[in-house]
Amino acid sequence: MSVYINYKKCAHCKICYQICPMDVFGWDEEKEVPYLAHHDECQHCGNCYYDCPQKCIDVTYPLCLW
Amino acid sequence: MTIDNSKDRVIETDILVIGGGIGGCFAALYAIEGGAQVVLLDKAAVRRSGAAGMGIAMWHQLLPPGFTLNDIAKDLITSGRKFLGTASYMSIMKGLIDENLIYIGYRDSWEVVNALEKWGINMKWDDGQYFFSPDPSMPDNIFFHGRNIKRGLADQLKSSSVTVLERTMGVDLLTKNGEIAGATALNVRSGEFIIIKAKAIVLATGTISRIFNPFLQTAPGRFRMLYNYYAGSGDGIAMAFRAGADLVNIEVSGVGAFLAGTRTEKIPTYFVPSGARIYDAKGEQLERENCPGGLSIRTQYKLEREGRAPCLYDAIHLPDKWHEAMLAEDWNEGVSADEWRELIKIHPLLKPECQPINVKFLKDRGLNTRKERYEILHYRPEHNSIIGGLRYDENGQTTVKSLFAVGDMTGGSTLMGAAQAAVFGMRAAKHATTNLVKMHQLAIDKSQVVDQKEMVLAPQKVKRGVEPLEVEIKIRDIVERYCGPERSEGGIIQGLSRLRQIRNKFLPELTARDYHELMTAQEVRNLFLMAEVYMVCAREREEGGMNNYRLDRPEKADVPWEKAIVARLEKGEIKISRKKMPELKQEYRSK
Repeated sequence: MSVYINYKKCAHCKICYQICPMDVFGWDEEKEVPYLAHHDECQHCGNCYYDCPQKCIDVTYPLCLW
Repeated sequence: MTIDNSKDRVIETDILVIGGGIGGCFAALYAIEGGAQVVLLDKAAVRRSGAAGMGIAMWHQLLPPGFTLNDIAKDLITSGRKFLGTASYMSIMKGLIDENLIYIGYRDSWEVVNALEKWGINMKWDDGQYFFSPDPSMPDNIFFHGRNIKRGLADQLKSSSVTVLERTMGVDLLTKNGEIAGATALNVRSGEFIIIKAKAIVLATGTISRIFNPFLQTAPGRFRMLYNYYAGSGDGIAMAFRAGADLVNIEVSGVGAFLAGTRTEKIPTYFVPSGARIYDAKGEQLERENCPGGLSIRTQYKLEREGRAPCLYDAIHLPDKWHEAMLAEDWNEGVSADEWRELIKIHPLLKPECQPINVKFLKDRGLNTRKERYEILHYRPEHNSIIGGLRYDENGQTTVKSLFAVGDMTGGSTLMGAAQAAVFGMRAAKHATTNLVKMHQLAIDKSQVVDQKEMVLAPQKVKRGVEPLEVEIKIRDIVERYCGPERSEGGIIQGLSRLRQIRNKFLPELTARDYHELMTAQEVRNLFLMAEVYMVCAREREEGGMNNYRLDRPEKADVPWEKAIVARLEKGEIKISRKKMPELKQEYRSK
């Protein structure tokens, strides 16, 4: 999996869910946190990594692409 | 969900824009300014969608100070490369592109830059000046800090009266006697089916990247890993094609040669720049004169046959400042224009990174450019946006009445990137709004709506089917295997047969677990059509050059192309013809 969410730092702002072009994030209405809805779709664009105000999302490169 | 139309949301507008990238934003903002009602659809979210979503670092095709349109005309007439930078023009392309479009692209180039500035997007460098690329082969490029260009445009849309429907994918066009009546759309998060009545439609949905494999042949198809926008499934091109619009040069694929396992364009390797050191796999330095075409596809195949590929790029000898700039993740905001000029003297092709996440990945991997050489990946086809796509005219009008197309999805000119999208987005909107009084809302054909709704929702009813991504991977596999960079007629015939076989069997078996997968299923439908037309046109194109390497036609390797291949769908059949694209008009030629 390429996307990691650090829930301890999440400020529930929903930005990742709003911006991800590939719908990787779903939104858990109850807990008010993102979850990985379609992690297969991640294309490593880094938008969530750069735009998360809390810097609680990391994106890594899949080993097979090295 | 039911197919009952009475419960569907119906929206009426003057102009519908499908796609929220640079071209779509420009079209929508100018159409509003022209007094029209505008609806814009984006299957993602405008703030980070499209090829510019990750940010852009350069603006192309800008008439530089000291240059005139006469200079551009001169280059166009002579197929010269003196003034045209990013849109430069090889003689092989004569007849394949409409030269007037390039002229217009440069003529209107400052108008769109001024518009961006008016909308609060800074196009200047830190010293308050436009930073024209010091690379003499690209005099028409400016570097700027474009990380948030899409965020700026999204804010601008928000403060305008454009109705923006995000996470909403255009499904198909609605036509009446071959003219535009509207479109249908699907909200990919709520599943809502929407019918939009419109007098004119501007398509701005980007390229068809996804019929091609990712750069690394060994990578599982799941990872699209394309340099072009990874959501590009040619939706708009397929929609327009189904509605009868002409496609042009669709067999011409753009190629990339990148550092292995990256997407970074920071060290482009299109050719061997002076000062760069490139080694073959055996450690022997490549001489510039030994590869006159640079690391072209043919050079690479030659090296491979000699047992010398892949090549390695060596930057070890370059000074510290260069390595710092190479591994900067911040759009080089701390690098002054003068420092850039110095760095570019050392390495003429070093550019600001458009996609800084690639630099993060290089760092994660522990790449040390000071200590190691790194592999240059083979040239591979990656997209069609170079000169292939929907045929359009000076107003962005396609061959279907009231249907416009802008940006990467268009074909028939060497203009590219955000600048083309912006100029023609603006022009399409101006033309459509000026002529709005003459346009009428055509009646919607209800049976078309029912068919489209049934088609897009069908995968929900399939219980034990095949997931869209799996089918998409197969499409890419077929294109790569039978119509890759080295191709021959037999392979293409077999590839087409395989493609149609897979389509007939698996399109009805597509299944969708949620609304997102309804979108990917529809994308797969579009990809099938795009892969088919790509291969049909590639079979027809026997001449070599421009990344086309026909093994069975060595005698035609250097034959000029002269005419473009035009494809059109007639009664479900792909019809192709050859057509010479227009030369520069008399009125644009320098006096």
